[in-house]
Amino acid sequence: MSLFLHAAIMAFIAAMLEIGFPMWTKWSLYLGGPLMAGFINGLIMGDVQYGLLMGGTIMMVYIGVSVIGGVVSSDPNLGGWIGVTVAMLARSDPDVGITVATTLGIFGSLTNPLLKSLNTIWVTRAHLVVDKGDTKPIYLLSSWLPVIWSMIFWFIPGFVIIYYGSGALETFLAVVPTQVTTALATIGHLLPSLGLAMLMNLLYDSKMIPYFVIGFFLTAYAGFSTTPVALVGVALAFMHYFNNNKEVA
Amino acid sequence: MTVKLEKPELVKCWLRWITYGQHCYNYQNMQGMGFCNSMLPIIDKLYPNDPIARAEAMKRHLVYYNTENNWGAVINGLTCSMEEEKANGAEINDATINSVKAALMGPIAGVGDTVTQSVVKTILLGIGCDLAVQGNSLGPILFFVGMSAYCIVLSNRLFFLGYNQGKASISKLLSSGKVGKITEALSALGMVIIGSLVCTVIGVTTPLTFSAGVSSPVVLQDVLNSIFPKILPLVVFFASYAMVKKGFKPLKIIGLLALVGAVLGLLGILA
Repeated sequence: MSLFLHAAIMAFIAAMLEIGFPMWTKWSLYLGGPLMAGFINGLIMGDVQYGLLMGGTIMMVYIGVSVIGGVVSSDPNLGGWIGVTVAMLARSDPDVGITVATTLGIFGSLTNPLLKSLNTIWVTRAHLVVDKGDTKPIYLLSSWLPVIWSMIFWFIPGFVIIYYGSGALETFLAVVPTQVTTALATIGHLLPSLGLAMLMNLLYDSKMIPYFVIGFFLTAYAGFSTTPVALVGVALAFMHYFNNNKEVA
Repeated sequence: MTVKLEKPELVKCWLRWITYGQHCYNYQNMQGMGFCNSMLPIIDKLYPNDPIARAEAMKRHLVYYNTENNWGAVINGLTCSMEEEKANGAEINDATINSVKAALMGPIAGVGDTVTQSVVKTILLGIGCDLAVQGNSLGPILFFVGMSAYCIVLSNRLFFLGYNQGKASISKLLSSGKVGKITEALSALGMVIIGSLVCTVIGVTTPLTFSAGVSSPVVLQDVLNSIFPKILPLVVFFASYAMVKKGFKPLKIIGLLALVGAVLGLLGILA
């Protein structure tokens, strides 16, 4: 596939997902952006293994990202569909990919409020036309006019970043001092703490602390990966539920 | 003459919600545009020849609305049943409909955010990443299929539950404590996962070494690994958590973490 078409497809996916189309993919394609983008890019480029490694590695940084009250801590969609694509086209290491994705993710969480402000234009318009009693204009204002912002603010920049960025990234990596990449990698290692902290804030209750401790030690000392930890977690959740029911009875 | 909502417009209402619900997300009424959009097929069906009633119905739903998208479908279903009763002459005014919506959106968002984001999404994504980094294509496929099935099936079931059962049973369900207990059990599962992710996701280490006078220098990270592995990620996690708890904006926390990472990374204290 030509670079032009490749960049256009990925930028289009990112732009549409950014405004939440279709909404039922918000948790898979949007919040799981890096993993899915790695896989799709791998298929397009004919190197699925590289895509899985890149996507899976970058995804780990964003795994705890949550959207709470419409605020996203770091945008996994742009970091995924744009960042992963750039990193893969430049054939960079997953570690460098994390830095690229993180930078784009921050750009994403900065531009997100912009969309919410601009969309108020359509709300104002809706209030003006609603009195006629026609449902069609409301449908258009609510479903399709927000796509204008998505194209201006994400499709065009996204396309430019992928089209020129992968070459620029290669050049940049060749000349940049190692201290800079070290610093960027360190930042990449610290940032995932925010998403997890936001999730913990949602769930926190002092009686939940033992569960956190169990999960931590299963991985820190016993080296369990997420899948077996989740199985232990399911068993603990059942215990918690039954104990809770007993108290009431 | 009574108007009855049939399957086609109900399905259309649900589909519009799960497709465009978030499109016009905005600071003025949040998901209000999306909610109103999903009610349009219902409004058209209930008031085919009455533009004034249609305008009133649309205005009724162009108000502030914000909830968790999947679980929120129960409110759309419930609103359909109230709109149907109203169109057939029941004593339901705008305030009644909107107070029911407003009363439910908070609790539904609380349950939905916990279950969808912190439990279902995190677990499926964790498993997907595990498989992907081992080079298994099933990782992304399982994640996408599992997550989509959750969103579509759950929102569909809840939508029709809301429509068929009416507001009394929904309030009863929420207040019976059963939903609360299940959510709490799932929170326990979420906490186990977060504890584990602190170790695997926060990759911070220290490259510091000390020469103890003897032949080989002491590598601090090795010492930490033997005493308390993953202590650095744990410290960083609680630092972030403390900032979140204090109400710092996410962007400010990102900035602070970037600053600390850059300085300590350049000084060779952290990596």
